[in-house]
Amino acid sequence: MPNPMEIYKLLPKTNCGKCGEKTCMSFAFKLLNGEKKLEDCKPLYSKEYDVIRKKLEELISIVEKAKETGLIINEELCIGCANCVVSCPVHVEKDPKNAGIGRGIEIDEPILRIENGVVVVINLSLCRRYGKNRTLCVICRENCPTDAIAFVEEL
Amino acid sequence: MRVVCTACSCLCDDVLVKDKVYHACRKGFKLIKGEREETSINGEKSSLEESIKVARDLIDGKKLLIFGLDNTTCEAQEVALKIAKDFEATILDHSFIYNIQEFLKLPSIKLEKFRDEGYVSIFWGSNPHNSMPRLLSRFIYYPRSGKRQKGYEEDRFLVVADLRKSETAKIAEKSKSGLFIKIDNDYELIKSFIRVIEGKACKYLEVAKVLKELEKAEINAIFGGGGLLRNLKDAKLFKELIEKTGVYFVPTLNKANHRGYIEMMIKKTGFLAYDFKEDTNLSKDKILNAFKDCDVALIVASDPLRTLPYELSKILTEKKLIIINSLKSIIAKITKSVVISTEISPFSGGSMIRCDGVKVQIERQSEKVSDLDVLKMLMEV
Repeated sequence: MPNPMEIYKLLPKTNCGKCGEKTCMSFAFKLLNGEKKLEDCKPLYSKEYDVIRKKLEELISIVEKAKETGLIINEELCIGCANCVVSCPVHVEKDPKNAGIGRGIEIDEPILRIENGVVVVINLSLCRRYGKNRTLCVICRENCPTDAIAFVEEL
Repeated sequence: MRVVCTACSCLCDDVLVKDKVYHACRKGFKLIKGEREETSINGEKSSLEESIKVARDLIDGKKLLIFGLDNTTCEAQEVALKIAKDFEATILDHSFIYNIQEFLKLPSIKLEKFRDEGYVSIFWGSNPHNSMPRLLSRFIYYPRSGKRQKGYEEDRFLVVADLRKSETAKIAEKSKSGLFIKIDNDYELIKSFIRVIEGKACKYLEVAKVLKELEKAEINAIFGGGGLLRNLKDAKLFKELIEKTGVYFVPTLNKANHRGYIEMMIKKTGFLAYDFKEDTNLSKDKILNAFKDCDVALIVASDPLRTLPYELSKILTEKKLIIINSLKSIIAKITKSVVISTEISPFSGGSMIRCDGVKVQIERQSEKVSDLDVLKMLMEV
């Protein structure tokens, strides 16, 4: 996972304000948070920045895979063991008679569900990492035996 | 529709098949949506009736070997045994690799009871991540059920004893309520348990912590996998360990109805492999000759090229084969054989015995012929 300083070093550092931010450093932070996109930096799309832009695109591609909560799922590594689904405290609370006791989750819009043998994200708004009062819960990642689940801040 | 997944011996009954397959692990999905075998004779498509007739002609008057059966239903296994008797054939599955008979006499526990009350689970020579992917999440470690409402956070303790750091071992190692014991000798680990109980020094120091955890609850279990069942030549010392610690034993046999086959064979013949021509048990040292001596092999719901040692599977590829299977197999692809395609077990109906000995009923959801139907037809032609 790139840090804001790495991003900043690659930006034009002119503080032109065309992206809507006062400084390039502020833009770097927001780029990492997913609040801004690379295209918002207009000078970066001039010819002189072609090489640098490609480097930035590579760095940002990791961040772009992440969902709103910073969750990244690598389906190729997932074996559908459902440890993440069953250990999730939100699932236990919402579906105590199924996910809570180890069965397949039956609520309509769970955070995660096993579909076609792998875990998929259904509704992240229930996740404890979502929204203003979020907590940095990592239970699903901790219990994944194949490292198919990751969070951007830990990469 | 709701189906029982027969991809492993967890026999998950909560799998939902709609436009997608819900709740099944990757193994279950591959079974339910995997590429199906086609009925054929020597690579040419054929009808069911024609294939049955050719198969029957192949069997008549020949020395027959019946192999596989671990992934089919109890009912199909019984018909296969009847065929073996009638045709004086040799019948065996993968059990000869293990020394399982003695282990099945040990006190066992139902997975649901362990889910509700179990505390320490010891996976010994077993990596359920590969063999039974949903075992930990459905029954052993994660459920918050019965007396274990705090689940893995406080109410469970996971121990993995293995010679390599498996995926399950990784979970045990990084968890606050888990422990990984890297072992190089099963006997030494058993002795370590017994020696610590007797107050003596031992090789594996982690054992003391495990014994301390065992004291915290009445329901604890050892889940013995292939690593344990293959390596221990006799279960005497292991039995002593079970008696001294009071834990239960559950074999983690990964093939869906492996336990069904074992129980049927022990009940009906007293042995796990039997030669009906000689009317005798087929001991381990005779297996190779049994493979060599047969004229025709009837393979039911199995792909020996994936599951057997090369020495044995290679012999099979040189024989005349009748393959009754649902999913595409390597052996059907590379040999000229009679292949009869059947419905996969989750849809074919019947019953299977889960790794803990519980019989699970499977509802018939398809009109396509099952392994049982084909075996019956083969007898009746």
